[in-house]
Amino acid sequence: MSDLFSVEILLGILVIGTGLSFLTYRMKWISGIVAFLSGLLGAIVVIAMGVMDKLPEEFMEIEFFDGLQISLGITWFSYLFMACLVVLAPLVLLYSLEPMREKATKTPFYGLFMLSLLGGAGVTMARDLLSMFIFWELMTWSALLLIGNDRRPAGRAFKIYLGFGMLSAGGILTLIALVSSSGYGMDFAGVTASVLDGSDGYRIAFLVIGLIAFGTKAAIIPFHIWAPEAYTYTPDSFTAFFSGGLSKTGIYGVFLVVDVFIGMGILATYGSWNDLTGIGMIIAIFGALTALIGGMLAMFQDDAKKLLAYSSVSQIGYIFVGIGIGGSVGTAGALYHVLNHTMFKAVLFMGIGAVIYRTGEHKLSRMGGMIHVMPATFWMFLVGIFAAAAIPITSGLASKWLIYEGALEKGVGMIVPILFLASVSAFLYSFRILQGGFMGQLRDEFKDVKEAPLTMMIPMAIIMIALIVFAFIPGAPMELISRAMGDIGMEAPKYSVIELGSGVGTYSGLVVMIATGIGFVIACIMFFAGPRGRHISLRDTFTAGEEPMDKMDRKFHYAFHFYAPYERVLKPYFGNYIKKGWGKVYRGAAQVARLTRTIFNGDVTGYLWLIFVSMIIVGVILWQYGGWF
Amino acid sequence: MTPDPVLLIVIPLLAAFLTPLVALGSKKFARYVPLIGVLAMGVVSLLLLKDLIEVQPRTYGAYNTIESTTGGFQPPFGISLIVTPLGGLITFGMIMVALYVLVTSIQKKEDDKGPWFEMMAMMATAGAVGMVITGDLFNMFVFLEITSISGTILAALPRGNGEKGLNWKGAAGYAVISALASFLILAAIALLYGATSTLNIAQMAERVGSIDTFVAGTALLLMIIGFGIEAEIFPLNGWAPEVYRGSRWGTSTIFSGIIGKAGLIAMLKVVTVILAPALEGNIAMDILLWGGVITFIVGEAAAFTSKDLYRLWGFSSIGMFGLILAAFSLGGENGIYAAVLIMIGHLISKPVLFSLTGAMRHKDRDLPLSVLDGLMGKSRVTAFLFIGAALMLLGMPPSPIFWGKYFLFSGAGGESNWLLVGLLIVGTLLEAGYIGKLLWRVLPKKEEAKAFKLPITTTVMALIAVALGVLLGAVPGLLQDIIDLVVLEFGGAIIILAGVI
Repeated sequence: MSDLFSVEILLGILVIGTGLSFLTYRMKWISGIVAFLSGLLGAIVVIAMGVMDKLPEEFMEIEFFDGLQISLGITWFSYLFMACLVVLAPLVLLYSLEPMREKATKTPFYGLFMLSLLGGAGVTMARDLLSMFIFWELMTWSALLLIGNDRRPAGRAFKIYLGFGMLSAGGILTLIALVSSSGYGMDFAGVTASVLDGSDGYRIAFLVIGLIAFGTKAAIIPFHIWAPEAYTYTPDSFTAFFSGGLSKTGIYGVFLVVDVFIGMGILATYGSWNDLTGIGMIIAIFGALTALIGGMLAMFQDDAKKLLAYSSVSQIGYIFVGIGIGGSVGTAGALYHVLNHTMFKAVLFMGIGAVIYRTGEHKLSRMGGMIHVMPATFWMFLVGIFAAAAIPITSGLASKWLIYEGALEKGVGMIVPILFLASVSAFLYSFRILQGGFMGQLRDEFKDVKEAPLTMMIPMAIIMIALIVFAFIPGAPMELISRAMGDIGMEAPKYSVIELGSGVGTYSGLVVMIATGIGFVIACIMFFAGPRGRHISLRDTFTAGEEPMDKMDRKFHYAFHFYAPYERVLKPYFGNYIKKGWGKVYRGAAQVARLTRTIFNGDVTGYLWLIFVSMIIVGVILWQYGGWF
Repeated sequence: MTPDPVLLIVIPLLAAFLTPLVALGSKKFARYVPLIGVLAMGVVSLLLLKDLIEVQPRTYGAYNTIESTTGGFQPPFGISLIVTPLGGLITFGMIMVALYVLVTSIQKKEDDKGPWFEMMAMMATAGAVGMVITGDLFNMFVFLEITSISGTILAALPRGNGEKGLNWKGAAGYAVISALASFLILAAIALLYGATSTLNIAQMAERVGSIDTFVAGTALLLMIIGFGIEAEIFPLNGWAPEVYRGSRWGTSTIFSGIIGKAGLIAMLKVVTVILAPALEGNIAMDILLWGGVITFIVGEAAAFTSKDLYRLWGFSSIGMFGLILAAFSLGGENGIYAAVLIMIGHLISKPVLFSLTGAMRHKDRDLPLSVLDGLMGKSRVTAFLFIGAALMLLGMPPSPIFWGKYFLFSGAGGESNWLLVGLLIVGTLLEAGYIGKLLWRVLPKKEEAKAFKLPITTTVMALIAVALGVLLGAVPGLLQDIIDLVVLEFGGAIIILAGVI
């Protein structure tokens, strides 16, 4: 019986599911059901594997040539990331059934979705660089083909994602070249050994290229610009998985590079800052800047999905801070935030996706008042926002708390102010999306909008419940995290079912629960004891009760250019400089590439001259180096 | 039973000769004569390949070859043909490309001026196969002439049979430049003949160690430039884009899959077997390596900015030639593995891309990239095949080119040649850039376009090719035996021809 829950079965389910959903893609409904069922089966298998503690370190070896094989296996560490992907996938697939049914897209949505899931899960199963690269490519390209599926013009998003996807693939290829120069094999043990034996230059090159290769996928500055574009222009149903799930493979890679291949022991030999390694400090600063810049840019977005996408960039920055701080608390915080981010980012994209599905509007300034027509969606979205902003009663608090504690513990307090500033921006953009999307006045044309369908609400509800439950029993995710940390040779901070401890303080789910409960009771007393409010429509407030001359559908609540004053002040510092910089790089490269057109101009005389010149050049080379004369 | 390799020359020449004769009777039937010929060639080369793989022993420096002599003269007299592992593999690949072209172009409805194209395709194949398997240097020149003259005629044929006027620009450029190439190669042969008093490649390789470095260096210079022109190596390849731009897809396929490949293999054969050992250090291979890398970068950069689909694939072919040359010249087991796998992937994917491009024929002379817009909406099969072949060309797993690139990066890293690694990354990024751009166009657009139907022969052949590529990419171990033999062939550097000398 327990053989049913093995990795081979999981891989089989995913491969067959992918194949079937590609084959049936013209019958969208069937294709979706197939994808959902195989995703569900996969999730059951993954959960069962974890519960039964049956993780095979090595379970499959495929030999392609004599002496060239790939091996797959799962450790608790990779299990954590795999679980994020595989458990999230069926929820998103269930969510996507309804909106995708009516879309007249001709691309095999579910096939590509499953392929990207297979690729992402494969990345976490890979035990060598080669198989990791194979799955990496699968994941990147299947996500790429989904861009612009139902929203145009997405050409720029496609190009940017392509460019950065290839940048990260090229980075992994360079890592492969690096490792092969050391003479070790491509398996993770060989990679670790190559770093251990390598020179300083080798280690630094490995670290930098590894961080670029995987950090690009995780959207760390200055490689983050693909994320807002790609997240905005993929189908709403896929974005939840894209941002919540697939981006975690980049984090996984960065963890591998920093904590497994190189390891804190080696990093510690390259300078330190208080209790922190110098390189860890650099990573943490990059993370903090990502959190800050992502948050600031999120504030200024009118496009709901773009706002969430920048917020995603910002949250990944926190994870990087945790990775950089390292040690017991920091790493635990980063891993915890990985779990949290998977959940709340999925629920946020799903929630706003539901609104977009019902209204067809992407812009916050054209939404508004959705709380009146989609209250259930609003509440679930609100919990997601709470988690993203690390407000108690959601699990989001625990992970950020650990990251802050880690920073304080290591004596790098200077990171904390940047993070606090980022948190302020998180509060501001969270408010913008709540205010613009759900609060305020409902436009007349959306009066008849219905609540999101049940298939879209169930997944959101499941995640919402998880977010709340984990806030009170942080021990449950910590159990998984401590096992994962055990695999990479670290000790998790002390924890019990309801308490999390660090060197600095303690997070208690119980206290949080009690405090929240008291607050809730007080609020209830105030609400019920106080005088009853009377509902007044926004229009009445605005016109002081007078009827306006024309009965046009006017919007009275403030949503357009929401943070205009902040924007005036902050834009000079947080403009799209990085994006513009990359644009310049691209245009410069294209300019150079265009030089080839001046060579191939169709002039045969010119070509003959070229041949003559190259004869002279080859002749000179032969003369100088070949002993021609 | 081992067939005589000379059949690979006789059959196509005979078929090309018979084609116009049959055409006097029935133009329709004359089309099938080259097809039958190429099928027979395929059988012969498959048998040869099977023999090469199966015959033991396999030791360093002593690998299997199949020889054939003519007119009862034993080598070094007379003309000998010698099928080495690489030669056998490439011959089979080139014949398959010819088969692809001939089968796919059999179903033509336009008014017909006779089977010129099929005849010349046969001639070019005969010459190219000859260049690869000949064991005699002057004979190689003869085959080169056959190839380049038939190539000129192929390039001159207008894009559609019904179209008026010839593709003067491409054909004339190629005629002038390939004549220069022939002249340079002939001069080099004369020099080598004068210095070694033999034309047999194996015998020449033995004697070349004792000749003057100046002669060897000059011959190397002339050979590199001469064959480099045929192999479309930058900056000798100015003629190529014009040919790709103006001629029909079959011609482009033949140039990219048959003529250019033959030039490349001939250059490698001449340089590695005869000339490289006669020069100091590794200079000959270094020149080829960096020449190949520059060609790769320039080809991919030009493809990246190209606005005409035919030219784009032409530039991409140029880039692949450079990559293959670089991989071969990098040497070592990784380099040879990379070169062979990339070559196989290119031989499989390029005909598909060219034939699909040809099927989307446009009224104008140029084929703007916008013909691909919304292809997924117009014809799902075409779009599926196009995406499959394009990703295969880029090296998306499962594709032989993926493994090739993996070996190439391992090899370049293993040599700690970081400049090479960097340039290869740049080239690959450019390649991904234009292939991604094309895929973007293929994806369905909102506005529905007119349905477009792919001819049945193209569909079937492209499907077979893509399936084959996926198979070889998923189970690359199938190619292990033959690649190991090629490694032995190049590992020995100098061909030891037991039994020939």
